[in-house]
Amino acid sequence: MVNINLAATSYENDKRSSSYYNQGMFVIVAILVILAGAYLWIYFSVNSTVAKTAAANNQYDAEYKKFIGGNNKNVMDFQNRLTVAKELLNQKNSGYGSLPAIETAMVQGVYLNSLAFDQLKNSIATEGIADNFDMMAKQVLSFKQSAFFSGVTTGKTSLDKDGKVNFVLNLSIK
Amino acid sequence: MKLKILLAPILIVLIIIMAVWFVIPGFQDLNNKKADLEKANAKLADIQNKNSKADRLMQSLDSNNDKLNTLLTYIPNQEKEEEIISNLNSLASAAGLSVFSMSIAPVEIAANVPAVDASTAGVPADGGEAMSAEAAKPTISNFKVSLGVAGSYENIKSLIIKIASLRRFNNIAGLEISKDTSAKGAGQTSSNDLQANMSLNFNYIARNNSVINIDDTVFSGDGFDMSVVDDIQSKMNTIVNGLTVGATGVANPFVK
Repeated sequence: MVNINLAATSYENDKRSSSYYNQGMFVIVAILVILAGAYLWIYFSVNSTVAKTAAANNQYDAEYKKFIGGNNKNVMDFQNRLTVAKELLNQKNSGYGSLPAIETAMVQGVYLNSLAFDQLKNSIATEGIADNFDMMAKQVLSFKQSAFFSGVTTGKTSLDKDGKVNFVLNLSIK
Repeated sequence: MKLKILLAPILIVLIIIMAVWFVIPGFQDLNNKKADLEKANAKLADIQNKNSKADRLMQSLDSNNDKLNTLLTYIPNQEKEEEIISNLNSLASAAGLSVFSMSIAPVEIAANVPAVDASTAGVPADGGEAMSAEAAKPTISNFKVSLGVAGSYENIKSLIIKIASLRRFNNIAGLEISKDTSAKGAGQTSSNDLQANMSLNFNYIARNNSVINIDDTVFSGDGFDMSVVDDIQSKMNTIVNGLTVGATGVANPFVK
């Protein structure tokens, strides 16, 4: 007796799994196509972006050459001078203010034989003559009280043949 | 049938390979390239903007010629020592002083300000960092002028005030005032017999030392801040007189 399978389920199962397989394959192929399309799009986009970047860089170079050439040097030169002039104009120069400061602080009856302003040391060395040591001391105090000077250093003092006091004072400028 | 069974996993592996090796790195590469493009476009827009501002600044310079001249007098582009000699001499004469010596020391470059070649300044498109503002500073050439004058204290003071307000930058590096003992002998001097030896600092900025710094704020601002020129014009009242040579040419240079 020949075995004959009359059950219809196996055929239907095969049909169904074939349909699943086809659907799965369709999805897989679709994903593959999408990926391939995406890769192609990326490839051309990268090329196009690189070309655009190169064009922008070339244009930048041309603009840069225009920038450093031509009249911009005059603009920069003027600006540099403005900047430097501002710094210089605000620079304190004690040399010009030293004479009025000394005039104001001089005690009557005391006078100078010489003065020497030194910008690097920011000080003034003076040689003066006073009638006596008391006057000299007053002169030292007057310089100390001046708003222009930060310190007074007393140097050599001596009496001259007329009995007057020759003194040396070193004045530090604030 | 066997091929059909193998096809699906092969295709899935192919999908994974394509995604991992091609699409994802490609996408990242694209993003990087887009960032580069954005950067390049931003730089381009920036320099185009600066170029157009520079054009406007140039027009502003052309229309402010007197301010340019004031600034070029205050900080000239050359030493112009002849102008200094001429002006100091005329100021001393006007103050009633006699000039007994005048000398100009050689130029020294300001040590804290480096000289930079203009052609190498700025930012090229193919790389390199922006030149710092410090490196792009102009080179200042300083020199000292020594001046010896004789006369009264008031006149010396008047000269110093005039020099202080000269429209060319200067400052006093040294000032010595002493009684002129050579005039009448020691012990016989008056307050009018004084000698003053001054050491004055002058400077200039050579034009070709002004480098172009692409990042300088002047090219991103609205224009020049001319307030310093106004200050020079209002505070510095002693005009710097120009000098002309006059008639030239003699048959014998050793005969007057």
